[in-house]
Amino acid sequence: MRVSKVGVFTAVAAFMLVTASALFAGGVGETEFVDPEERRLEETEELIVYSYGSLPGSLRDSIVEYFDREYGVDVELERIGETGAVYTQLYLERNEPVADAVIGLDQSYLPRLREDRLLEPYEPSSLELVRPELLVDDEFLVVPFDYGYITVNYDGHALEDAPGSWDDLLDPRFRDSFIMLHPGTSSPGRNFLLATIAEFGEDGYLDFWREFRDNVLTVSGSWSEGYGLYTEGEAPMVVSYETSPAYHREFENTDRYNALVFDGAAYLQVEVAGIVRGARNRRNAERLVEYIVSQEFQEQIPLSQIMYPIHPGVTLPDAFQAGPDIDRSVTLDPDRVEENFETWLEQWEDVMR
Amino acid sequence: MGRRDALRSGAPYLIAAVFVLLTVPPVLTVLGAGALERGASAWLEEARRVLAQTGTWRSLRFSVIQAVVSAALSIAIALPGAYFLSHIRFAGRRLVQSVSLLPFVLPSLIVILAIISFYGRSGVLNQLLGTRFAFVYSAGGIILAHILFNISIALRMISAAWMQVDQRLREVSLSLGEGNLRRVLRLHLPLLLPAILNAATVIFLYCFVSFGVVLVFGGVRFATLEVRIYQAMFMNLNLSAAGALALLQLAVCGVAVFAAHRLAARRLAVATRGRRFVMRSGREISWITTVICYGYWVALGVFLFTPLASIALRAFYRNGRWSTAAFRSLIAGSIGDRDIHQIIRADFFELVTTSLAIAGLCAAVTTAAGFIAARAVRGRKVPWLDTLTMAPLAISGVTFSLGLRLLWFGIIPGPVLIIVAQGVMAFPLVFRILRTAMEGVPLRYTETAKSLGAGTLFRVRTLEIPVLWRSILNAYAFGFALSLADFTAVLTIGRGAIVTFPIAMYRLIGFQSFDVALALGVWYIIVVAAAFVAIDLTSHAREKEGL
Amino acid sequence: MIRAEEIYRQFDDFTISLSLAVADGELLTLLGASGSGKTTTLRILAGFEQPDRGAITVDGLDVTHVAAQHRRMGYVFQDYTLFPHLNVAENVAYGLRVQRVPAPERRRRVHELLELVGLAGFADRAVQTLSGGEQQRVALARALAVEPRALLLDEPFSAVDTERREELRRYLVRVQRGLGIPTVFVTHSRSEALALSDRIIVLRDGRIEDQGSPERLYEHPHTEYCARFLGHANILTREQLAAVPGKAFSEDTEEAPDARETVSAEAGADLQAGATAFMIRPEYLTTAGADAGLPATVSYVAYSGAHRDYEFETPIGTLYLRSAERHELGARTTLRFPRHKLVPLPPKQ
Repeated sequence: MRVSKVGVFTAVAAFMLVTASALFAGGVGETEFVDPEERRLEETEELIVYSYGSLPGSLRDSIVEYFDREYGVDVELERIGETGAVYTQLYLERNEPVADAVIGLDQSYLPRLREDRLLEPYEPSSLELVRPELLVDDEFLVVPFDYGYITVNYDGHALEDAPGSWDDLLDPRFRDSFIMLHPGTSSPGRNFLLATIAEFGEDGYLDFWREFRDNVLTVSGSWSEGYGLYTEGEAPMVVSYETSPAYHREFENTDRYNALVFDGAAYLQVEVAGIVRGARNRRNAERLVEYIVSQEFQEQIPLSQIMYPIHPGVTLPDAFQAGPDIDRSVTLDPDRVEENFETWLEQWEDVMR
Repeated sequence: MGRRDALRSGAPYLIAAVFVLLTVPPVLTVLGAGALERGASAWLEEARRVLAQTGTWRSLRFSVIQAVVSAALSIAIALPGAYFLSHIRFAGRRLVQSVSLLPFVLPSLIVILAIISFYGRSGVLNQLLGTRFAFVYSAGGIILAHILFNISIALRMISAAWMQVDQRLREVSLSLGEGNLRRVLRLHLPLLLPAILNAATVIFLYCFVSFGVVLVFGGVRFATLEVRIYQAMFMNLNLSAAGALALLQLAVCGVAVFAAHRLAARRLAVATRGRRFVMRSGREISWITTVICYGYWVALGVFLFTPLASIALRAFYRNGRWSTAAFRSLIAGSIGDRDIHQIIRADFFELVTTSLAIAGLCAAVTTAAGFIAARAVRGRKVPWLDTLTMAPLAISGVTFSLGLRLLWFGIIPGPVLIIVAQGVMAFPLVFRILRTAMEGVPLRYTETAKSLGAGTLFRVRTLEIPVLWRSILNAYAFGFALSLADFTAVLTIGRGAIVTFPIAMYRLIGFQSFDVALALGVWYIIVVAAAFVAIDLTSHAREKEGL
Repeated sequence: MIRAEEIYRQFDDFTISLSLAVADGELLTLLGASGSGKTTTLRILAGFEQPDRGAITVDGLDVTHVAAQHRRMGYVFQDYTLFPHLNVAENVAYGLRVQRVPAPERRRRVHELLELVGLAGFADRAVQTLSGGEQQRVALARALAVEPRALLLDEPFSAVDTERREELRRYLVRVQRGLGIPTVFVTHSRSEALALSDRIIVLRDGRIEDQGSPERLYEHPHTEYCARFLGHANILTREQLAAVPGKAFSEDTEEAPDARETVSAEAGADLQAGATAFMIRPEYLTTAGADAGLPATVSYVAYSGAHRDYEFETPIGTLYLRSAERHELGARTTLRFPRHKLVPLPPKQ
């Protein structure tokens, strides 16, 4: 085969360009930690907020409208996939932050947020909480804006005989009846796994799952997908929020879907918001924090987020009253979770295979 | 040697260079990002750790096994079909070929929904049988979905190769008294082996890096390497681990691609220099064969389309009643109180224009690039280039898109990056189609035109495009459909800000709008598929579409 | 006038090295076995391939580095290569469209050319409906439409059936003579080459074996290869000749061949002296009565209409004879050799 001059030339050029771009790619991940606070730019009449994908449009609209009305500020609210993706985004941008504020992480991210130094603290001028345990961070790196409980939800039309306890869940009559959410990708899934650890302890939860495995139909990557399968009848039980049935009661007029609370206890999930470290529009971000803990905003939480508001002054709609009573909030210490979660997840994955 | 000759013989290298430039840096970025961030030693340690995990090897093993099984089954099912397509000119032949492409060009999400609608626990099949089988939520579902996707590829590639078999061999066999079945088994199959293995490798690669299907049906139990890469990347934020896994995946794919290359280089031993393959018309065959033939196509059609039909069924038949509520919601743009536009986070107009614009541009760019490349290597045997351009099949969509984003985001606008990502992933097929099509304008025609004084542009305008327009259109349709159906690149690069059809559907699957998602899916199938099939049908003017 | 000087092109398995020239109105045939480089040489002239070294000039203009589309050399392929998506008229008009000839003028030229090749009235026909011969004529018309400086034909008639070939040859010759352009014709058929050409170049392994008029090459080939290539030949070594009895030779009474074509007398004598073999064509051997020549037995007969081809077994080996006379298989006779028809051949290279 004759080697043409042109061929050799392009091969060499290509090689050089590839090498150069690979080196250029190195510029993507800087090993030096540049302190974003030092390079804070001038503020503008804008506010950029990150949130998870399923943030309801009505909440978004109310934020946009509020800022436009009160301050003449343009709000750009970006919805980014699942909670994990939001965190990833912040992390990737940590040296040159794009967003000013973030809404929708949950309390379990706190240790990591502290370590990765992604947020700046801010204490809102007035913070009224309906339950004291909602104050997950007294340093105010994050501020709560709604909460809920992670429970098993079931379809009353498909299940006449719902399980009454954790042990009951293991019963063979529930074979292939449960849709689990992946703790690695989904926040509720993650919290459900933690709930089992809280219930059975680090030594016992794997045994639970070993026995429970046959009853699990599938493990979905996201809550949307899992819940979708659930409502389509693929399985009569799913991991979801204790408040999910309220949606069906309110908007579909049906009592069909219900939440299961064992022993009056359920795992607490608190959703939080915070200001991004090195945020350009710091003042507007502060205004946002003030706004989302205000009663005006909190009034919308139940019927848009289908979660509980943190503000004590909000009256819950009837649909929310009909659920089971929860006397005790279950949580695990966030630092302990942070330290062990990866191991717990790996072990869980091993068992689930 | 003259300058022109140098340019012509250098063309493959030029193409390869451009190609490598587009595809390698993003992948390298992902592979190395972890290292550049925390240092090479940390990267190595992380890599060692993740490679030591049994989970890694288990998922590698599963990836390989499910891909091999999917490929083997796809080919086994497709073989009789390929025989009929290449040997018998039966009524509806072209229709069958075009229509079998449908699952391939639909977004994987729709196919997944289709499978759930039909084979799911509360799906049509279980309802008909009165059972509650859950086999789809396992390797079974994954393999089933893969077969649905890939059967058309197997059909096309193998039937095209079969048509190359010299007619005279068949005649010799007949004159020696050999029966049909025996001839197929003893004569044709060995000759076809390179083509079969080639098709198997292509399908293997698709299945190996398959993502959406594995995610939905595999859950945790059945995870492929691709899923683990995704998890490492987006859940654990462990770029180093993700990079190491991606490297492992690439290595395996590299082996597969290399194997394919060696096989493809060993072309069919018997060229078509002999008599052109003559197909028997419908009238010439025995009635048994006719029955088997049509029976096969009916069975295959049922297999391919009952899932799709069940989407429609589920969209219309809700809670025991026939209802067009889902469609009405779709058209009205609201589900109960909630605005659909809020759910999918884009208004309908924006959705349609974005989707069509990206797909249209991507297809145009990819087709143009494919045309130029195919033209440049026309008439030459460059198996290594054919293999190289197949490489995108082996690159994980997530890895590639992420790499593009890490490299160029902020410098190059998102939609452009999406087009690049989708273009690169569609290029193997588009290039193949155009390369095969170029045989319709052999070098002699070009030389004749040259001797008559025609320059390059004139020739393209008056000779190549008029003869090849059908194939060009076919390639464009492919690029368009694949781009439209893409989910990964749009999501990874657009970060949810850019909404195209698959993303809209995915968002609709969530809270209580499942039926609307189905309705949208039905609409998509009808509109896009009809257009695509129509175009593909018209492009079958000549039998050269060997994909 | 086309001139190709010192053309050199190396391939993996063989090399082309030659020079040639074609005058206006001349029909030169490149004759050779497959793989001899004749098609490649033609393609080099056309500009489809580039030589490693050498120069090509047309009417004095150096076109060695000129692209094929600017050389204006008509090219006709073996399989006509008519554009399938255009009809007859559009095919013929293609080159005119390149030159942006306005439509009315184009139509006129097309009409003219179709008449020239005897296809008047075929203008609107689809090319797929034409017979091989008709397609070839269209190809010819198409090549001529642009008034090329030269005409290059690559085995144009081998894909046409035999009856048509004669007719097509006549067309070609008539057209070509009429236009007076240099024409290079490639073929592996010796009968075609002999019938058509003004001059023949015999190619072997990329080199010119011999060149000259058809008659000269046939009657007085300069090499054994050439001798064999242009027809059946009896090649006799000196020893074999010596074994032929003297009475088998007859003296000539015919006139000497054209002086132009023979080598000079001294060269001829040199050739005689240095020749290791002699060639004589089958049609010049005659049979004679017993004892009048070399004894021979008929070992093979092939009837060919106007004549018969014979193989005779003789003491010096197998000899070929062509004659209208009848001899039975196995018949015994003698053969006579006209001495002046013995062509000396130089030793094999």
